[in-house]
Amino acid sequence: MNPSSLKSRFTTRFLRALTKINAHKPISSSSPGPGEIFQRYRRIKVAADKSMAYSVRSRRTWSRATLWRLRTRSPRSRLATHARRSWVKTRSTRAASHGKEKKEDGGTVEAEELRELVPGGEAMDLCNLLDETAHYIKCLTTQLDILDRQECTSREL
Amino acid sequence: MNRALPEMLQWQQQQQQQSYFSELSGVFRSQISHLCFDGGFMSSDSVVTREVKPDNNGLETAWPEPGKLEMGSLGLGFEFEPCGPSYNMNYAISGTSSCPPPAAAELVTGKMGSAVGTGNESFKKRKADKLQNSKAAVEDDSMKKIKAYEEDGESKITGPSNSNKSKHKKENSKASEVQKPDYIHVRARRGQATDSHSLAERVRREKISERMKYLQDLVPGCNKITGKAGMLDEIINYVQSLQRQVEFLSMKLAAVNPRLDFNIDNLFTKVEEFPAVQVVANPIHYLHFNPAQEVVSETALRRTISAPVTIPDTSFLDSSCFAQIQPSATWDDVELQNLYNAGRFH
Repeated sequence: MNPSSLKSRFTTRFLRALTKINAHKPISSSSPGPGEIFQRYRRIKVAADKSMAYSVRSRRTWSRATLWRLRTRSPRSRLATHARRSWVKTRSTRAASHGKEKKEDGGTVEAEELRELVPGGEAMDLCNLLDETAHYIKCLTTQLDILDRQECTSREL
Repeated sequence: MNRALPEMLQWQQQQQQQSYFSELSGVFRSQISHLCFDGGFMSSDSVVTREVKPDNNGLETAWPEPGKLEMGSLGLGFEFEPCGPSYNMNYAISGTSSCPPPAAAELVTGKMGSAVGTGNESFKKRKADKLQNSKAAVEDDSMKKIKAYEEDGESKITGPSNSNKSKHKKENSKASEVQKPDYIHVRARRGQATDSHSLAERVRREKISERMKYLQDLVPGCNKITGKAGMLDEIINYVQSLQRQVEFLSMKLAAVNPRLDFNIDNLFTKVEEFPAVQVVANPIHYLHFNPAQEVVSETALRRTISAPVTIPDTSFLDSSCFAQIQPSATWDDVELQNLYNAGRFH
């Protein structure tokens, strides 16, 4: 097992976050209410995304975008989100004008959808977008792998 | 490379110096002794004179006749080397040609004169550029430019049959290469446009198709689909399904009682034993799931996630993990709500 691989980095971080969450909110033995589960779910999801993004650091645009998004989730940083949105708009218009010299209607419609899916994809031309997508898919599959195993082990114990 | 150079020369000769040849032939006839050729050019006199004659006729009768010009250029076959002496030779030639000798004047008609002038200037200019770039990646650079010009000339000469953009990509007598000393060199394909914009476009398109191929390997079940739009659709669906799976699994983890006994070895050893990603990805593909709105029940979750699992190698499995596999449930694009509401809760 490669100690510095993406998978191991993600796993250690994620497990650490999970223990923190579990320690913070000890779940009652009786079936918990939906609200509680939902809260925990949100926390776990955030932990998964965060640990994945931290494992990749700033090497990828999507990880940077995810981290940025996670950091500025709170409503008090409205200024920051506004700044980011304007930045994204300028970058995307520049990328768009640069990237599509010919009108490829079919291509750009899907490209827009892909941009929405991949975090940080708004301001990239198609070439880099595909790059990011490939890495993003790889990381997502790793994440799913670990989550699945974790769920298995949690269930059987 | 030795083989390539004379070829390069032929083309070079052919395209930009068609007008030039008229003068050149004249020059050679009268001033052969002045030119100092490098090794590789054997018997200058005989070769030149032999080849100049058909050249002459061709030039006199029909100006844009590529065949004859080609013959002439093929015959001559200098060995231009992209360093000192050849440049001198070029300049010598251009020097002599700038003041047209009387022999050349016979050949050159009025029209040609003006064309020759421009041809000479462009030739000189290009040679000057060549000298400047000689330090940085000489051969490649010159190859690129020369090829670019050559294609340009080719397209001009051979007229409508070679309209720039309609030429099929697969037809490459000169396949495009990408060499990378300092910057990306792209060789223009036969019969395709060679201005910088279309070259850049082509590079960009090739990059994109390369990445699409890589994505095709990543996304399962994309081998049959060709075409960018379909591929992008598949990729989008796959990314969406992956994201939903993450949410789904984290919901599951939230519902399950937390176990603080994290056995890392347990987590990692399973890696080598079976490809779990396959297992996870397939059943929940295209799942319509909105976890935010559903009341989650653990048993229902277990059932849905384990139902249509196809495990490639069951012998290594930890049996308790998949003890609840129920092959009866077939997986369509069923809304999870239906499952919840179907009253399958224990």
